[in-house]
Amino acid sequence: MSAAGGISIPLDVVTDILCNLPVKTVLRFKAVSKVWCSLIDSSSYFAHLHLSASNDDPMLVILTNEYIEKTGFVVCADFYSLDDVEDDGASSSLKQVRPRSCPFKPRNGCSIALGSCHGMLVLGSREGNLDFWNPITNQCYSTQAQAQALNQYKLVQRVDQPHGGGICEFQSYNLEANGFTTFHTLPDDHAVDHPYRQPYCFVNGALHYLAAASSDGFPSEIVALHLETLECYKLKLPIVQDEGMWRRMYIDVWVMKEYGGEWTKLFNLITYLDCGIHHSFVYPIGYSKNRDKVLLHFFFPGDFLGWYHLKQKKFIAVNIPGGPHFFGAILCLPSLVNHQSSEKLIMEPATVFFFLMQTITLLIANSNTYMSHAYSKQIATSIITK
Amino acid sequence: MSITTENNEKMITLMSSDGEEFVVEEAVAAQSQTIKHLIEDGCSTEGSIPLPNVTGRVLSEVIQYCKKHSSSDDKEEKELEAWDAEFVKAADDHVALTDLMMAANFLDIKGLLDLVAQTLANMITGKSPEEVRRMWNIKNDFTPEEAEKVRKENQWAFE
Repeated sequence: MSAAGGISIPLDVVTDILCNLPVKTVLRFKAVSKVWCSLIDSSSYFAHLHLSASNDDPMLVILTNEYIEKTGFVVCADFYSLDDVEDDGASSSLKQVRPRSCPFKPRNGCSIALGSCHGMLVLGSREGNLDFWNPITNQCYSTQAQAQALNQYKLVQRVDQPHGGGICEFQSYNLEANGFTTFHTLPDDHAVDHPYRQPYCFVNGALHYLAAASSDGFPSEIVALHLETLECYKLKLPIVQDEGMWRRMYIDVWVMKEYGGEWTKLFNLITYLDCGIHHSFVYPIGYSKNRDKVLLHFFFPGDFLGWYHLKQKKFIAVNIPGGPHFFGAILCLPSLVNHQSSEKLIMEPATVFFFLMQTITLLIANSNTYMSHAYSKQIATSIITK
Repeated sequence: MSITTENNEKMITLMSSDGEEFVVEEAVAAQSQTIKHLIEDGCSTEGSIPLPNVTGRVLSEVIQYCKKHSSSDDKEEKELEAWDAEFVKAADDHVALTDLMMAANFLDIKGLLDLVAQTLANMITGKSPEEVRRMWNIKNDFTPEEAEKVRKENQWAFE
């Protein structure tokens, strides 16, 4: 105690107070003193305590290879304030983070965001390298250098056997083998890939993807593989009337409000009228905080993000620095977790929420173009907890 | 020294660091995990339980909280929340709240700890590192270069 009337504060009390603050404020308080800094920076105990008490809003990370190479910045946004968009599409919620090292160094081929868990993004390059990046702590780990990191998570990929007539293997990363080993095989699987975005979702302990009932490539169901019990089951798709070529003009967004329940059509877009483009692939990213808008990611022609106003039935585009071409827009929960963490982790709730927004009908409409795009490689990775 | 009341409630005596004695029902005191363990170990059978880390002023506040929370059941959750809000408001400033929090930490009363931690968090959320240092007399032990480095690495958090 130094100043008159003052009070000093023990570190365990500081810990309890900081756990009640959003990550951004916690990071700012690293500048208080060296003791505070090291508590926040290097204690995996604190990172997990903070995560389990977290009421942080999800964060949207937008990856733009060209822009990253030119400026060194990655665009991030507080997701729930991103809907505060001006008429010209500018949003004050957008901010830029300069990654300290790897995943974003120019390399042959670009990175794609494969998933997120506890604030850690997994990025995959075309050569098959994987990198972890926490945009909050700005720590990067490549799998080759930090194989240990993978031991904390279960990293799963689905591999279709070439000319295997629907035989498909599920592999998880194995530290001892320093590679992926098969843990389950499905004999008759006809998964359908999205050309721009891997349509894999982890919800209720199971990996979900779109599949065709036969080899005609026409998605007709959702296959779910529970990663612990290895139980495989199917969920129905909404019943969509086949309107032939007309379907290319429309985008229907369906929601399953309760897991395993009925599908409800949330809204319907006529892209050239509502959004000013002729046709496009779309992926719904999520609801705004008060659930009156849905953020959509359009992939073609050019990438862009925009809010669809459910009540006003209006579309508002969001301007992204370095746009229009970006290659990933992925939600993650801000956290201070780094790979050194040894505790068992809980599943990120945001993942559950966002699966329920999967677009289905668009995928059906454009099924003939699935294999034409470079991203429709066989690998789909999803990061989940052990 | 154990006394029992008319409705057969066992009473125990707590002694603060400045020698003040408080006689409370065991159920009230046992909301503190620390006291609960002391009672289980038989420390309450002879004389009072000494609490060398807690002053009488703070202990009376803590007991106030424990009394309220041991008499209310789940149905009154809303009312209890309003009471909690008033309770921390009455504590007034960060010095009193910090005292209360250290007591809740030592006595291991989770509800109180969470309540005060949240209140203090709300209090500092808009503050600069400099203001936080002043609140708790924390010495800035960074060299100007180190301070600049921390700031630079977390640029967006300072915007």
